[in-house]
Amino acid sequence: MIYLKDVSYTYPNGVRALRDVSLKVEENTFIGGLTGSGKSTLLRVFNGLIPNFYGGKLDGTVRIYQRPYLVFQNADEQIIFNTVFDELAIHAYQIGKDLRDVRRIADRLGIELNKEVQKLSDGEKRILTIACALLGSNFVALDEPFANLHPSIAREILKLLIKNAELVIISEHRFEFCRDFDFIWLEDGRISSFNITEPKVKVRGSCGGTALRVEDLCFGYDSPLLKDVTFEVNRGEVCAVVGRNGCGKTTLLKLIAGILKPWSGNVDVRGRIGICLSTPNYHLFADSVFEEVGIDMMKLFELERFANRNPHSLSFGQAKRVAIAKAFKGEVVLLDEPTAGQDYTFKFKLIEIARRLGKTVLIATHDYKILEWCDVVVEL
Amino acid sequence: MFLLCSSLHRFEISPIVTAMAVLFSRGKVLIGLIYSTPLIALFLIWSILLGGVERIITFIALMSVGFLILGLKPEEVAYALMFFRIPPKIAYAICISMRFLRIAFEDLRNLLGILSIECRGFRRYSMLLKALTSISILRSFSIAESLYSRNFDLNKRIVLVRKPKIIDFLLLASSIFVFVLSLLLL
Repeated sequence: MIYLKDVSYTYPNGVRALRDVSLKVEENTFIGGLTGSGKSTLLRVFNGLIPNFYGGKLDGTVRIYQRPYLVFQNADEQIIFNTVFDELAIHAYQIGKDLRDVRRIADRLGIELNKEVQKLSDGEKRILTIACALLGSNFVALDEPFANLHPSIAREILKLLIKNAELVIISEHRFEFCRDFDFIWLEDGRISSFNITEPKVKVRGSCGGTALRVEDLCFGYDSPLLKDVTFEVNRGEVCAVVGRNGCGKTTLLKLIAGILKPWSGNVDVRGRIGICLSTPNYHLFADSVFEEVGIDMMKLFELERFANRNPHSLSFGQAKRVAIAKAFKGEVVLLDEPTAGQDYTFKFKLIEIARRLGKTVLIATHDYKILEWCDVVVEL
Repeated sequence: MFLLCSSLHRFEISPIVTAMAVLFSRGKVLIGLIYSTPLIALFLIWSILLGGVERIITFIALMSVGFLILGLKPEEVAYALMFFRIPPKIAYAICISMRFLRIAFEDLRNLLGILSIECRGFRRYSMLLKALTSISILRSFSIAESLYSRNFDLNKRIVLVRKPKIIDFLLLASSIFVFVLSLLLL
């Protein structure tokens, strides 16, 4: 289906993303690699976005016998229409399908067709973009499709993808989904051999007094979402908030931060809040990464090579890391899906930094691997 | 909406227009009017001073139609345009542009929330403006990228996927009636 020989690519801003990549894709393929290793760029080459949409300089031989449907890393950036129905139905008409196909796929994935896109959670938006791919494309490329998804839903979608599509290419950091796939490992824009070792993590945090107390918290948008949520996190502890997609994890973080006002109940936070929501650009206001996070955080989060770059010019994963580093300036750190867009080793690093700095960290996540090192787990 | 606005040259029609807007928006217009009470009160004082309450009645009617337009969903506008034989290509282009406005509004809301934690004072607004501009440019780029990657083609067959409901025809019929009535009163 896809054949690349000695392909190198440089973005118009001079960033070299691929170097002498040669590969043949004929079976379901899983692409792994560290953040910024060129995975998304490779998928864009497969889809034709590079060089037709992005420009830049592409060298080498690229033969694509069928253009794959590309599911973007950030679902928010892919959705065009305002309602779930329009997003699916108009795409269905575009590819020659009809409303029966839309209803079938919506039923299979538990999608409510009459909902507005704005009212969906990040995970639900992700499911919607995958549903568009499943509507009729028999060749699908997905960029970090499972980052915002509950493991059970992710497994269900993976099964559907393998069943419905002739060829699936997935770029992911969560390796639990790579079974039965051919594996490609990218490193600094080159195909390389897989080399990741799991660092050791200090399991328990240093416990002081209470840093965060949530009591009988109730909140909802159109209907009640959070009911009588009560928990407590001590100073220096790492707390994970888990639950199915759309259960209110992000909403809980917003309530603790004071962005939303609860219907009833109390939130008591002792210390300055640092927050990183799923869209990193909401947190980035300075002209350079250095100005945004400072030298210490830059070193801790290995951001030195972007020091002079404007944070908004970075890729999603890189910008997310900058936003997380900025959130760590606070004493109580609230992180929404911090492992999305980050490589496999980042979760270890994140916990390690939290322990070293003695921060109280609240992580809303679907990455169950991270739970092993958390002191408190709140299930919604 | 055009017919309703055009009818407002006769102030006697204004209460009918307001009532229609409140009725067809299922109360949303009423909420908008309640929130605009200070502005309406100011306009009321001004119109009393100028010696005529008809101005305030027309003003409320105009605001009601405005709220009705604001409360419309982009896809409703697109399907209404297609119903009146506007080419789907134009209707969908408008629909996508309006989606962009909604995203920008959502971005603004999120940025305001985050900035309320991060900083205070006038600096907040300069940071907001800068971030919003940058995010909006990136968003428009993303929408274009999404359309391109999906091979989205407005020249392809796009079918009217939602038919007007009885309430839509009722609104259209009453708007025509009000418009004709206002012409007869001239």
